[in-house]
Amino acid sequence: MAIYLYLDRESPIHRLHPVTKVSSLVLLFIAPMLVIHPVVLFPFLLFLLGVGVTSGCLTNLRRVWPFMVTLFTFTFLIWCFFYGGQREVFRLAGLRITQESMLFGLGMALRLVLLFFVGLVFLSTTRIEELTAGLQRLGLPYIVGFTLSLAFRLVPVFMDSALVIVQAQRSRGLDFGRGGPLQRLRKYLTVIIPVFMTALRKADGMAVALEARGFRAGQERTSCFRYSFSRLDGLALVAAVSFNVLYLMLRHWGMGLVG
Amino acid sequence: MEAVTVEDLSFTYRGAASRALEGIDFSQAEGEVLAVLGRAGAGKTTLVRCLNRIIPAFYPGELEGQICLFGRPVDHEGVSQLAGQVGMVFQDFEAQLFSTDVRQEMAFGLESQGLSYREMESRAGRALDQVGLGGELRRDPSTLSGGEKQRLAIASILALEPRLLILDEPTTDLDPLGKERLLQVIRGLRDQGLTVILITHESADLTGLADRLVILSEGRIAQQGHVEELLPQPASLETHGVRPAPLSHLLSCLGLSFRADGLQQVHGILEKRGLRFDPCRYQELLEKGKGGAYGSVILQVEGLEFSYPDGRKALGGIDLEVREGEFLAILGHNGSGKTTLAKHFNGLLCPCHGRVLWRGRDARSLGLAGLAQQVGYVFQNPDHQLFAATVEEEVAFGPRNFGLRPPELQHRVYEALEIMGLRGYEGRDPFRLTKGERQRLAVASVLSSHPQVLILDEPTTGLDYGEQRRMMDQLKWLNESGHTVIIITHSPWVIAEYAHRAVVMSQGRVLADGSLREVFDREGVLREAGFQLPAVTALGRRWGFVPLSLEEFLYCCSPKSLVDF
Repeated sequence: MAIYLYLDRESPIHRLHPVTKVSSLVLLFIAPMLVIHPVVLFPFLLFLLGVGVTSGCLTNLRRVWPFMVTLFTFTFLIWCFFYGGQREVFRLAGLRITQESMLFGLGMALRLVLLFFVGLVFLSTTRIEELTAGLQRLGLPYIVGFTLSLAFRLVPVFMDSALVIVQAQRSRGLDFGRGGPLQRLRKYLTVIIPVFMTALRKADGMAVALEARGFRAGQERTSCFRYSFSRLDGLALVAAVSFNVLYLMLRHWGMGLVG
Repeated sequence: MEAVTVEDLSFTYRGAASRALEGIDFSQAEGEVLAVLGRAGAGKTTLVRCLNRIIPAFYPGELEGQICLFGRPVDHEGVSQLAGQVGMVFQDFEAQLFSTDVRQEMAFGLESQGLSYREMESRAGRALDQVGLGGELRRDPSTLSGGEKQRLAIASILALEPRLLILDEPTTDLDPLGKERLLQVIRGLRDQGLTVILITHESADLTGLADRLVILSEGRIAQQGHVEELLPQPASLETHGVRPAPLSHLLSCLGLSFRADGLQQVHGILEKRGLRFDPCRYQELLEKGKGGAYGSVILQVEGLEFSYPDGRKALGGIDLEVREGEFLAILGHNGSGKTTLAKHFNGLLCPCHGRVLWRGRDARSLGLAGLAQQVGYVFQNPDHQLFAATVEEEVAFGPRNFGLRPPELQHRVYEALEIMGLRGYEGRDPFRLTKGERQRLAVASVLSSHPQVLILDEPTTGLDYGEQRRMMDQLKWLNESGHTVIIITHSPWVIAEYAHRAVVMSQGRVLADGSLREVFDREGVLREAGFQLPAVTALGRRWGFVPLSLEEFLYCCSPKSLVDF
């Protein structure tokens, strides 16, 4: 079952150094938090779209667009009604919609969608191992990184066994849809217990298999990834930093905000 | 040089009442393939885990005796230090793969050894070639078949360049194709001079592969010696829970005791000895087989099509009838749609096109609850359904869901336990039972709902020969007492000796459907489905008949009646 967003492609974005990817992720998460005016945020959206096209990860939009649209619409509407502001445009059921509230709502909605988009691009172009490799270069201990990536690998395995277990219990006449909340919760115990038991059995086997492959041989670990910084990494970091600098300057000059 | 020497090895798990191993003595020369056989719980896994120090490192207890690998005692080594010398591959291939692509999987062990990038690359490439997975570097292991996963696990171990490779039941969970391919790989490794220890239940796998055997029984070595010497002793193999290699078994029944590797060779020998096929006897056999008349059509599918939500087509137009009292086997390689089809029989899946009929009524009108009560489904892995604190509760779960209350409920539980040979286990914890017992409990917990049809997905996988026989004999009894039984299985002899009818599937379609003898006579179809005939059946076909068991073969071929029917 495909539950991860990663797309195995050959693109300049995919080839970026893990450290670049992780740092850019952080920087690009910060940038849209600095300003709120939709007009100022718009170039950021264009930039992300450009990255999306280059990396070929826009196909993932197909999987998430309903969520993005919902996020956008609700955020926009809620801020429209509750932001306040001076220049009233119209009233609806006692709530004032102002120019400021509309702008702010639009900016807020755009900001959330942008943050989501940044995450999407990152997950579409970065393997779990690269994430941990990046974090390790930035100081995370190997064992923590390894545990993290193993957990990600096991999610689909456990999901599959959970699905089988649900079917097995339904064949024995268990109806998950009936009964009050407490009863339903108890019914799920018949799934949770076997999932945990198979997980425990599996974990036991895994621990042995890990050791049998010399997991803790004591030597300094080497890596099968040969990452090197290229001009592209510089470019990516400059772009990510530039947005932060630009937005900070705008803020300093009192621009990029609403009202 | 001796690769392995074990002297007077004993081990007791902490808290256990008796010894798991006692007084084990054996040695293995470098370049030899040693097979370790024995029933479940005989101590096979315990023994090999002592060799690379997983015991006592992971499973504490009292270890006595001396183990030397390549002339050096291992007492003070850690598991990880030994990893470069002893490689170990396990039955559960899922639990041995840790990465999201083949390349990283291969690199995993090498990284811990601190090898350079270039060295890693060349070792990984070489090892992948050895197992026939060259060029798959970018694949996600979760997209590989079971057999490929197991070969990847082997490659990742081979890359560490161990001098001794230990394989702990590597073929148990594989389909026939995957298994054959894996055995080929092991044969290749032997030819390259690698020292191998192989644990298995199937002695048939060992001809042309193993040099020597060690047979364990209750923690002791019951027998050890050369393959030529031990394999042709079917009786003693069987007492130790090992299925005798059918061809060797046949030869020994005929009083001919020597090593014969292939069908061709055995055929030649028997021809030379003047073995003749007696058509009259075969006719007798066929007449007798006709006796079993089945009841009315109980389950029927018409034009059944099914696609998964992601668009993958699983079944493309299936028509099938199952009559009351039949014993039906569905076969075909993994991904051919067997399980998907079977899940339609009890309403777990609903057809995209076509219909499923239960006694002439559309299954949809019955719903899952209605149909599941009539058609019981035992899943492949018993651990995927056991959850209760006691055996009794587990078995009562189904009928209680279907609305049964004591005292009838109690009665059902005891009855089901009785049938599956689990009386006296009522208060036991299901998770502490052996695999064989858990499998029987899973069947009992479905049986207690009194289904008229019983579907079992791979009921014998992971069981030793004795347990397999026991499970199948119980199913046979159920069938004879009126249940319709449908099994999905890869095991040729299980089908041959127990089923009445076979449905062969491939790529979501039914390739063949008929009585066992009819289906077993269609070589092309079976080949397409990746199914290997039982050796005795294949041998019989060379004389132009289709025997389903050793007894039938002997009955039709021997000049004297060797077997009483």
